[in-house]
Amino acid sequence: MTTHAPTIAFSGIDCLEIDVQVQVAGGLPAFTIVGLPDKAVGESRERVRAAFNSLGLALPPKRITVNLAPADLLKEGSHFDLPIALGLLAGMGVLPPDEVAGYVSLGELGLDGSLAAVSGVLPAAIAASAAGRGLICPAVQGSEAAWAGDLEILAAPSLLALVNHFKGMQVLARPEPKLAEDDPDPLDLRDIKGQESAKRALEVAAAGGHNLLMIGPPGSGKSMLAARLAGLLPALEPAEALEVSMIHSVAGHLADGRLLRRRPFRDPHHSASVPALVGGGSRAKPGEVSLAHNGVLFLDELPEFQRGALEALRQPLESGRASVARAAAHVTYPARVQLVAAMNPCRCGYLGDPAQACSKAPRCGAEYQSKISGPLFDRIDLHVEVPAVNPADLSLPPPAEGSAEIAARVAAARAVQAERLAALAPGRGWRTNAEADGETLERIAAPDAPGRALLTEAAERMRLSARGYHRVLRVSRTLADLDGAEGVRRLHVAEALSYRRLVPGRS
Amino acid sequence: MSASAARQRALRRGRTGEALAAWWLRLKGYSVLARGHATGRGTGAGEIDLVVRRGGVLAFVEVKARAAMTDALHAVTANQRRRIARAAEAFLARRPDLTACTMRFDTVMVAPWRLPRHIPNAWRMDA
Repeated sequence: MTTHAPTIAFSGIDCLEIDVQVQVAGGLPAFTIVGLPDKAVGESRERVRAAFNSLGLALPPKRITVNLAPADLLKEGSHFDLPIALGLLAGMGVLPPDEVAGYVSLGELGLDGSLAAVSGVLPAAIAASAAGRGLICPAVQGSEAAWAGDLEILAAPSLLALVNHFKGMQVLARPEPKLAEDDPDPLDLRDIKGQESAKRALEVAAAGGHNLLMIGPPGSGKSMLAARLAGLLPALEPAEALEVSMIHSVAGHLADGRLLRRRPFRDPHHSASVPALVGGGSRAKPGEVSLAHNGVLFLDELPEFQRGALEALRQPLESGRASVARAAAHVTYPARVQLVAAMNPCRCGYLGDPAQACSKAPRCGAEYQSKISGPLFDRIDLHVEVPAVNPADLSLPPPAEGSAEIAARVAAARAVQAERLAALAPGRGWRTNAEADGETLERIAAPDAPGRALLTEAAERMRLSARGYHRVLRVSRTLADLDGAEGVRRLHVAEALSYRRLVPGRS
Repeated sequence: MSASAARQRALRRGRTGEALAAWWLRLKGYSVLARGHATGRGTGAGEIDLVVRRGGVLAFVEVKARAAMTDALHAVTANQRRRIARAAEAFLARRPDLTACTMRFDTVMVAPWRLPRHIPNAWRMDA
């Protein structure tokens, strides 16, 4: 007799349904797993055997064949333990086979029969719901699965609890969906004294979702500013939260099965490799740029990153998707991020300060900044200089305006944008000016006549690329939204142009 | 004492153990179908100490004679398992009437001045 236990294999955040077929037949006793299992799946045989022992069951002296269909797809991960065990229990007559076939199951078995957490429970739950099946998952991840909607979920702490549930001896309760808790002590922009222009740029970046680059000497507060950007951004909308949580679920980062509510803020170290940033590895795992989806990717000490890693970011920054192509897998992850970067103007860090600069200035500045390619600079809307803090400023009382006030302005500007974009380009899923493109951008960000004249002249003088031109338009629109202005005026265009990069040594 | 003499002694002790195990299984209601069933040569060789049957159950038995009772599971090495499995397949090929039985790999431990210990379903073939 053959029993079936459906489960899931992942291709990025997409799910492929896998049918685990278990046949218990006569013949010389053996236990084989076929269907292209990788090492972790092949080893599940030993875990299943030990878990059965802990239930007081021995494998029957029969020929047990487990097939993972479709057989030509490589099966990876430890979550196949549970479907194999359930299929086998059904084949042994311990569980009713038709009940087992109605659930998508995933989980890793411990030798004592306990169920350990696996990655990807949320996407699996959504796939199970779409297929009209229930879901069986480890107890610790029940709250994660509960977000998928109205499907039947069994979140069991152990194999024994599952058997008891099916026997009706101890029925498992439906898990409750949980949200991540708010940061009890968020960082406040009030901690930073002075740096008004940088704070303004940070506010603009937060309001329109624009990329931001801060250049300044060491100790001027670039990293402090960036760390406080997360506090300015509004919470994730429900649809966004689900999307972000799915990526984090596949990467196995979702703590305690709680759905994320705050926008992710990822700050990889500058030694990060290309696969670490954009995704990859033999299993095509999501990279930092995908983990920061709908949030902020902060690259501190930008020129210290490997050149290849930075260039690999160009395509995701433009398209909002990170495609990982491998011989064995081709996977696309969403990666709509706001890039925030910080760097010193040169290696010694004091390029603009004749008293502290090293003997090589200003040539070393051009050299250091040329580590970042033009195309990458071109993708950054806001370039802002963060000068060293004036010691007199440090003794001043904290500024009156903190993160809460700025966040309120940001939220208002974002609400205007979302409403406008939803009306003009429905179905594109655009929420911020930074995402608007093409004809829609021309319509929403058309400046008035003086503004247009200024932009045309500036584009010529500053040799703006087509991309740069459109980025100026987007920033102008955001500035107008922060102002509460209906149309984009010359004033907004002028401020947006002031944030364009000036190449050192060329003015 | 030469090496061949030691080997002969071990063989003799093994044969005695096999006879003891066979009688022990007979007492438990099994009928012995074959003893010392050997097949093939070289790397493809296989050998089973005892093939016994009770009702619909066919058991391939490895007999372990030891000075002290040790764990039977550890006494049967992976190489021996392969030898036994090969021999079991060869045996079944010659006796197609038995293929409908439930099959098991058992171990019987024999030690001096102890009753033999029978461990049904001691191990299974793994791919």
